[in-house]
Amino acid sequence: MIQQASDSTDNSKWQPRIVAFLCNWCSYAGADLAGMSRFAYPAAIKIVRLPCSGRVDPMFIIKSFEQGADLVLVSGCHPGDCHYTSGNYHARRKLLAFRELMTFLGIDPRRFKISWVSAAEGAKWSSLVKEITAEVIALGPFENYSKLRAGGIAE
Amino acid sequence: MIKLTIDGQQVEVEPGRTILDAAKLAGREIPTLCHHPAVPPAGACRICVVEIVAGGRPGLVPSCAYPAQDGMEIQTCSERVLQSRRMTLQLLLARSPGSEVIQEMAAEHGIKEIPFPKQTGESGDDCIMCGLCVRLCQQIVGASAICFDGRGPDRKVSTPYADRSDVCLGCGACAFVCPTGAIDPAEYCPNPIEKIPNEFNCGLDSRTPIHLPFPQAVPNKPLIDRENCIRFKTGGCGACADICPAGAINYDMTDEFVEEDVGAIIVATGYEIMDPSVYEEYGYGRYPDVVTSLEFERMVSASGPSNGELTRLSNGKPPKSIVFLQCIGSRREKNGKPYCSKICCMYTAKHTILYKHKVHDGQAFVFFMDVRAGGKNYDQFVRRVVKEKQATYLRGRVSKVYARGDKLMVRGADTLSGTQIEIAAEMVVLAPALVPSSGIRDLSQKLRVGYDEHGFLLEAHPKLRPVDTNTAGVFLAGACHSPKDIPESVAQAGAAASKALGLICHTRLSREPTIGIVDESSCNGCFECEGVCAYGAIGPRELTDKKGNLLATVAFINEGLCQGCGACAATCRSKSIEVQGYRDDQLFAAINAIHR
Repeated sequence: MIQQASDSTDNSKWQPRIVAFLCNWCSYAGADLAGMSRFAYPAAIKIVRLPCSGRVDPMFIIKSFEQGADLVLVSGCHPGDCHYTSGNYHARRKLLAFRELMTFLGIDPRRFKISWVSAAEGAKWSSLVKEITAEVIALGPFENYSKLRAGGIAE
Repeated sequence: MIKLTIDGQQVEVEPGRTILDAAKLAGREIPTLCHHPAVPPAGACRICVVEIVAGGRPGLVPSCAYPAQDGMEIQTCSERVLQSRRMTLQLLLARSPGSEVIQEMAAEHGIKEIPFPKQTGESGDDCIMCGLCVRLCQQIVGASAICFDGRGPDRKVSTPYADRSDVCLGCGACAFVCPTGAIDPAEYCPNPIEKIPNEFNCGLDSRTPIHLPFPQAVPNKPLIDRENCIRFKTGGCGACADICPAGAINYDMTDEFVEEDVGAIIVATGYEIMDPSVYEEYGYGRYPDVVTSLEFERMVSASGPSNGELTRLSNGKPPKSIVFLQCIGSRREKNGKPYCSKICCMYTAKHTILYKHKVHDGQAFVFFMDVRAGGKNYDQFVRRVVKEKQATYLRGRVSKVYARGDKLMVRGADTLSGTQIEIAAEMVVLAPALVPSSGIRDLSQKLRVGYDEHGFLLEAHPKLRPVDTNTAGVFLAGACHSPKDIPESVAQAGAAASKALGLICHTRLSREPTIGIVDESSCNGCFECEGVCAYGAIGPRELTDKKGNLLATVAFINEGLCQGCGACAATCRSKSIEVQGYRDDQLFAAINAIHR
């Protein structure tokens, strides 16, 4: 699967697409701060704002891959610093369990990232996005679902 | 009530009070030595003698012990009284020629020469044999650790058989009441008496277990440090309770948790300074004359450990040259804090002026990175310091401070002239970086307020909401938010107070509409959501038909408690909870839109 993926990076038209689910209070504010502080980072990342990382339903992640995301990131407040006290703990437990199921879903678990970025960490956000963009470029496009669709196996 | 006349003035006192008490009421000052209001009188020193002129047996009596009687007429400074006091003082001065208290008292009474041979050595110590300490130890503290020993010229205050006492509590009450400061409990106490560093003076002097936290404390009342108090350590002593005329000492008071319901919280926990001993090159902690700016501040303060006299900690002499080093830990990416501590430029300029006020012929040097004097009249202030030659400003950093003889050699660079310089200083003052108060992380996690990597609390928006936090009802003031000087802290505190008032003065509160809503038709009542709710906002709700028969028990979200985090929505297996504004269909639409 990975071999296939890296073959297709030859396609020069391909631009990686990352969907990020960010909590409103820490990671979204951190990304905001990165912008305010003029820290540049790749435009491959598209952000969906949520009140809390605890709001992330695994269905959102599957939906993102189904729609053509090459990597999904969930980022919240640092453990212990959740604006809602414990939402990031629920997210961490749930999403780590979800990652175990990803191979079964036909998705390389390396295409799913969890991180903690606080509202003060604009620079960290910028370097995180650079890092995961480089990783997804190395992994190549996620084509398992689109291939299924092309083969008529799924809608 | 007893009526008597003191120096021609009528006074009324309760029966049982002494002439000294009556004189105090009349505003007449009578000198005392062996008297203490808490200790039963002995009339031992006879410095407080007064003359009964009428209304009693005429003659000289010790006022501290003689009860006031109806119709008495007293003279507190008749010639006969003064003559007696002078004689007493001459005898005391002969016994304790070295005692400053006696010398001062003698000078006040015009005594220059004494007709008796001055005693020296052991027989002529500062102890005036008044026995106040002995009476206190027996009658107030209850330890009876000290007593009079020997007779005639050999009489002295000692322990039985002059051994180290088994019963001395080490309370130090004897030293506290001793009029001449002659007694040292360390000589008797079985355990070493440890000095308690005075926290407010940066440990530059010591304090007693019962103490005022700092001058002009609010409330300005003493507190007992239980860890060091003899009463709490041994169960003995209790002298302060006996001595306090107001009876205000209560040993049964304990720390308590006070719970208050409040509508707003203002965090104003301030800052601490970082410990500069991590930078070994500056020699802090190794050389006593390398001090922090906070220590310097206390040293030059009139209420400080040296009453405002600036002296070197190594030899007690005033420092003839002083070097101020700025940015100790601040603006230092490696092993330090990358931010500017903001207040150091200004207080260092102030310190150079204070230094010149204390040591007129002294020379001050300041090593700086940049002078950041942004603020109203700030730059003019620094320029004045430089222009009036209060200090020589050197732009550059210091690489090393080391001792040579009794001087401290400060080696640094002057980048403006491009030279290496070495200054022989007698004192070095470091301006360490400001850091948030310790414990700020625990507090911010309790308040659910964000903080940065250094522990400074986060505002809701750096430009538009600098006083608010992201948690409704919590506001910031002062250096808990970032290093700030006084005018800025005051301004922010004022803004925080008005924000808090603006919040709580309304009869209705507005809130975010993004809260959870339960679809009662599909909720199957598993209550997984209840377990993930951090606010206890979810509970059961019974659905009944018109006749009151129970149809189902479903989840119910209290709108007042729900904060809208959405943990319940993500947990609900039947997808029966939606967070308004972050509904599943809205989020799926957002995901789809990304890939359009």
